Amino acid sequence: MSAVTHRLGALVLATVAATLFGGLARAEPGVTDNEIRIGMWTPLSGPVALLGQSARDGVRLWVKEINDKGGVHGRKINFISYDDAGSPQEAQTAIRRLIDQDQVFMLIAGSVSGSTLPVRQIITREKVPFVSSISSNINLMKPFSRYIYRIYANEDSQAFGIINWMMEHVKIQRPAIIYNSNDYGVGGFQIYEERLKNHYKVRSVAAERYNPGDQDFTAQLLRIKAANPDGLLVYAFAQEAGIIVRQAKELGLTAKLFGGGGTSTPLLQRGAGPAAIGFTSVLVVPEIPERSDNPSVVAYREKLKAAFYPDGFPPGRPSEYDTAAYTAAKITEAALDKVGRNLTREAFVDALESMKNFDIGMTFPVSFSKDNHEGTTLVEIVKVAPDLKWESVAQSSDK
Amino acid sequence: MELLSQVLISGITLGSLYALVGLGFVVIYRATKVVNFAQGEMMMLGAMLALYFYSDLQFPYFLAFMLAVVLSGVFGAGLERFAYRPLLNAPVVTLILATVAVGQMIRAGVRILRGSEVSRFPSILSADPFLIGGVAVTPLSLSIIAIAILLVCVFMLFFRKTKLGKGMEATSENREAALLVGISVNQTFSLVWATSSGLAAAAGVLLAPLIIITPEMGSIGIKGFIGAILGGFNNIPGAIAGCFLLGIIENLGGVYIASSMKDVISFVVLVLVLTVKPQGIFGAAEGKRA
Repeated sequence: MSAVTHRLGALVLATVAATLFGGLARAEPGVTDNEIRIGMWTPLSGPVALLGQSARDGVRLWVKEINDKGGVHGRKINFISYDDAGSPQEAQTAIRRLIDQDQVFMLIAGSVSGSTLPVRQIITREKVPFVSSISSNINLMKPFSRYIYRIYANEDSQAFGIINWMMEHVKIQRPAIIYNSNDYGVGGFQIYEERLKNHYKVRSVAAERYNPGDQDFTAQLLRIKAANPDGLLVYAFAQEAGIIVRQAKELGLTAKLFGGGGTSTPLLQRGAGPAAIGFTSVLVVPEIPERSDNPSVVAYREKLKAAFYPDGFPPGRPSEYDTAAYTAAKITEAALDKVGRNLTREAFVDALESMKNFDIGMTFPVSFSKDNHEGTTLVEIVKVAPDLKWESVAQSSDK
Repeated sequence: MELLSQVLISGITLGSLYALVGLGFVVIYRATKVVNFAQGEMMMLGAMLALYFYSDLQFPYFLAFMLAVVLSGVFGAGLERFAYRPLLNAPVVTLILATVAVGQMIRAGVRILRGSEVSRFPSILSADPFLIGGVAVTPLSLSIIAIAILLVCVFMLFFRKTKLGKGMEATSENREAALLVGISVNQTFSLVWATSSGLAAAAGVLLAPLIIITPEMGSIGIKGFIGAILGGFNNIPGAIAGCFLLGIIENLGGVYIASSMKDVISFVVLVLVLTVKPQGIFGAAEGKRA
């Protein structure tokens, strides 16, 4: 009996000691006296390389700046990035390398949804903090994880934003939708249906779906045209949306055209040409990185150019993935700074959860709390201008 | 009624593109018994080349079109010489697999050289619709239908009337006999591959302004194959008709049944037709071949 008590007592003591001195006894992964290792897996090649290259540059630029200043609390940043080419399998390999082999302290930016969702379980299990700035998939936060944070509005908020704009500002009376039959498209369609029925009490005159990879949308558009809508929501990715917008015009469809978050990239105009003028969509950042005259964005462009692109930017750059990743890096810096010299992953996520209205002018203000890691629900309404570039119109939210 | 006319017009536009690709499939098949699964990629290559000459080098449209067709033809002949001719005595299935491999290589090659960027081919004719009896038609789609029909006619005349074309026919009927009457089989095969590659390229250039140019755009080429089977794979006019029919069925089914089911509908029609008439709607029963 007493032996058991003794053993129990010893165990309790050991546990207390481990908790108290654990930080000293066991080194935190990725943190040394003069270095913090931060990892990233992202598409640097393949069809979605633009996203990954943007995000990597955003982080790289921050790393350069911070290391030139001497680091955070005496520790320089060692940034490690791997190419996953947008493939889920490569993402698994990259994550294992980052966590097991490189033993990074945290992960930043991440990859497209298809290569982020399959690794979220590993990230959560290994308790590696991850500040995400590419995936907008709602399932990134389902189930809620203490270690995963998102910088900008998820796809639900994006759908709310554009539907609000369409119904309340443009005052569409006879809405219609064409959507992709994948998760993204169906998710958008469900929100559209629910909002029209319960909030706006308006009937959708037509809802047509197509399959990923389709290149001809005549049949869908003819059915939509026959229903005579005054507004059409194109819930598609930019490539298909480009063809849809052009074919809609060729078939004489006169409804105003709107798009989900997947359409607000320069790819839309490249596919649609002049037919894209007036197309309205949502962007997850308030400033269009390529043309904004907001001082913080101007400064970003100049610094990025000086650091990596003295001969000029590649097409489509800088993109919103630049500024989102840079903001993710800056909020990371703020949290690292707040934690101080005794850096642990747990202390770092506590610091992240205490961030309120964090704003460097490139994204919407980001706030996190103990039970909410979605940084914001705000989106920007953008429109294709007559010069075929995106321009800001207004701010919208899911309210 | 307006809707029906609109559906038919759109179906014919689509069908004329399928017909150009389908014709390429049939030309090769008749001569060599090979189904060339790189046909869609040849189409993509044609569109890419035309885009390069027209947009990057600012050549006039007609010149860019011709260069793309001719270069693709030369490329096709090169493929025949270096990729397919060494396999001439291998089982046909080996050759078919070789075409799949070649298709993948073309796709990967284009991706390396040009990236996976999306491009739009600026159309020379207006894509603004005008109304004919309530039906929206664009000069662009009308010109595509016209050019496609013209090309198809030219090729049919070529096979029926010219010595070269008859040589191709003869080779497809009986290789040894053709050789005996003095037709160079190798030369004929080069020509067959060149012709069909050029056709595919022409289809690509015509199709380009209707969709967008990506290394993946060749996937639409398979529709030409299906259309040709539907009409009759060993009969050129039949195959062409099948392709037009496929375009029309897709749109009819898509509009009057369910748009997300339009591919399913065309496959169901294909299966039904093949069950009743395996050689295709217009296909003649295949005779004995040497």
